Amino acid sequence: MTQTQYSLSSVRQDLRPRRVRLWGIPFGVALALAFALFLLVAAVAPQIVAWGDPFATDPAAAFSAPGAAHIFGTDHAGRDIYTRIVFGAQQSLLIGVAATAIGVGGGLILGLGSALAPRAVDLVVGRLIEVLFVFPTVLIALILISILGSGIGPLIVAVGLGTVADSARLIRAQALKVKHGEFVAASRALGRSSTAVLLQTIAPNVIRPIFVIATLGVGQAILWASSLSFLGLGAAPPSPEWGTMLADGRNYLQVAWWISLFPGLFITLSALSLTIIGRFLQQRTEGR
Amino acid sequence: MTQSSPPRASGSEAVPAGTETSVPAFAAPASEPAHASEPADAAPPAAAALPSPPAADPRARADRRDDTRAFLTFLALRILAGLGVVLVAVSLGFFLLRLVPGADSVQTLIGANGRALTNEQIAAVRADLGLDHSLIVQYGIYLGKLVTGDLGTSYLQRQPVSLILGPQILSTLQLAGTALGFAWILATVSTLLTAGRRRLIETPGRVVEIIAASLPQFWLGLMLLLVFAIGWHWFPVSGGTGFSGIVLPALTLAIPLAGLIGQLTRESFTEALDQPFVLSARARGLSDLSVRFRHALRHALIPALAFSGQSIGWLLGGTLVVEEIFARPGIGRVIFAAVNSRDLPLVLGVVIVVAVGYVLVSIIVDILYRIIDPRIGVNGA
Repeated sequence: MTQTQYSLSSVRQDLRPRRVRLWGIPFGVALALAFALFLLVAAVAPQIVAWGDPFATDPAAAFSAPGAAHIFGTDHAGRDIYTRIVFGAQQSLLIGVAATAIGVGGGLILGLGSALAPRAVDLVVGRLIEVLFVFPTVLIALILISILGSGIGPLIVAVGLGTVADSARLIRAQALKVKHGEFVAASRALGRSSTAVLLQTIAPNVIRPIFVIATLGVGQAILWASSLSFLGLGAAPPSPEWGTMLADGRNYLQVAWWISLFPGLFITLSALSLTIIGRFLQQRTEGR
Repeated sequence: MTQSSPPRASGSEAVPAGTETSVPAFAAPASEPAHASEPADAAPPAAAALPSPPAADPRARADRRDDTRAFLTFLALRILAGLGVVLVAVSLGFFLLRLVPGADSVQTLIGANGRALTNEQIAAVRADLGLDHSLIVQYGIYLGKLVTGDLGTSYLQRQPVSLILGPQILSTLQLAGTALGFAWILATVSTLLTAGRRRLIETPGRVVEIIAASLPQFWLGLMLLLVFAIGWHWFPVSGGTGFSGIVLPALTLAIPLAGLIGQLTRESFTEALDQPFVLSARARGLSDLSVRFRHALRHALIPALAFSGQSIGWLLGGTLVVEEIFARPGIGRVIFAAVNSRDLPLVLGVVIVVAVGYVLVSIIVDILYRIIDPRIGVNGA
């Protein structure tokens, strides 16, 4: 296909058909918001979207394929997969948010500390961040879990500390960019004290993108936490934690694919919708 | 990342900056004087760092000698910094692992099967494992042996760590390498075919990439197994030697990675397509595909390359899950078992392997950078 292009992007942009938008929000973002809303409802009041009991077993209905009675099917004990997924949302979101709070908090201390401190400190802390980054998150989490024991609490700490390096790198890069920005030099040139420059000029510009980093981080934390649960290091069965359910379904992969399919689908959709929302916020805040 | 959030642009000096900071570099040709009528102008001062036929001009030769010297200095500094990273990683690992409850209890270590050991026996084992020294002395002894290439002896398997890890490293490297290769192919094809085209073609490309990047490896692995091994019998369910055994595990790692790489390449590829040199190439009558392949792709590769270097930790973390699902031998499974059994020397061995691997890859990436984009000077972009 040969497509003649007469001019640069601005012209091409004008010629493009308009995007599908709902109230000024792109279609994909609207879908992501809808899914996030569903998750939120499921986490706060699961009874609204699922009426059953996530722990009620029904041996007669074990391994039912998805159908009218059980839209996502049932597992080996006859528990309804859909109900369990809805009730598991709370745990997954809680782990995701709490772990991100630890990760971003630690990242903030390390990243800001390193970028705004004198050069010698930056040299040391910058190296430390790089070293932490070298460690695969799984390895850090594994070591922490073997120190703290397994369970939800240790899982949150492990995922949080495991992702500190990621957010520290992002925050440090952002802080360095702001620190060397022209408006900071201008603020200095106006004769402000260095504390005033730090608090009034640098801090707001560094903190704003953190919402974006946190939104993206929650999605990632959900992924990490569920993979650790999948490996048997997080919530113990019969908890409806998604990773734990998936690990359970793995044993019946050949006979009942739906036990593995749906929890994984929800993990993917959660991560996906949070990523889409995070990107959207990013574009908005950067004014692109 | 993916899992782990994608390693993004770092601010650290020698590590070439990733996405954000490298963008200005691509904008550079826009300000180049308008002699964009020759193909070589795609990358202006190409001759500076690319190997070129010996020039007669003595000044050029001197320039190149300076370049070589600067490059060697740069390389030496990178290697030194890399050794520093490995040392800190080992030290952190060494002391962190001592916090594990029962890390130096003989009962936990050798798994006495519930039999009570006499005090003499315990003392003998502790002396044997070198646990009777103070922590600092143990650390010193460990580092001393490390310098000579001795990684110590596994507590549990009573074998040199290097012997245990050797074959496993090979298997994991094979997996990670194949996965990286697959990821690059997938990302490049998707970018070449769909980036910077009509919305009808571009949007599906974007959507597929962002979905791929959100896929959890453990689930993707199970679903691939379900469809291609259990459903269609194309590949073995587990084990399997040779190429057919590695396809599904490698794809499991490659698909999310390709999503992440593809997003980066697409962004810089689209930017490159707007550059004057692309317009001039089109004006010379080059076909669309050859413009994309010969001119724009080069620019799109740099952030992807940086990302690949940084993703090595992520890739190794992913191998743990994948090796578990597909019952493949490899470092991932060793880590898992070693951490669970508090086999300190073995865990430290893995830490060292990972750190050295990361450092090596990032040095190679730095060198590749200069080959692909000669505008990147020795001191970074």
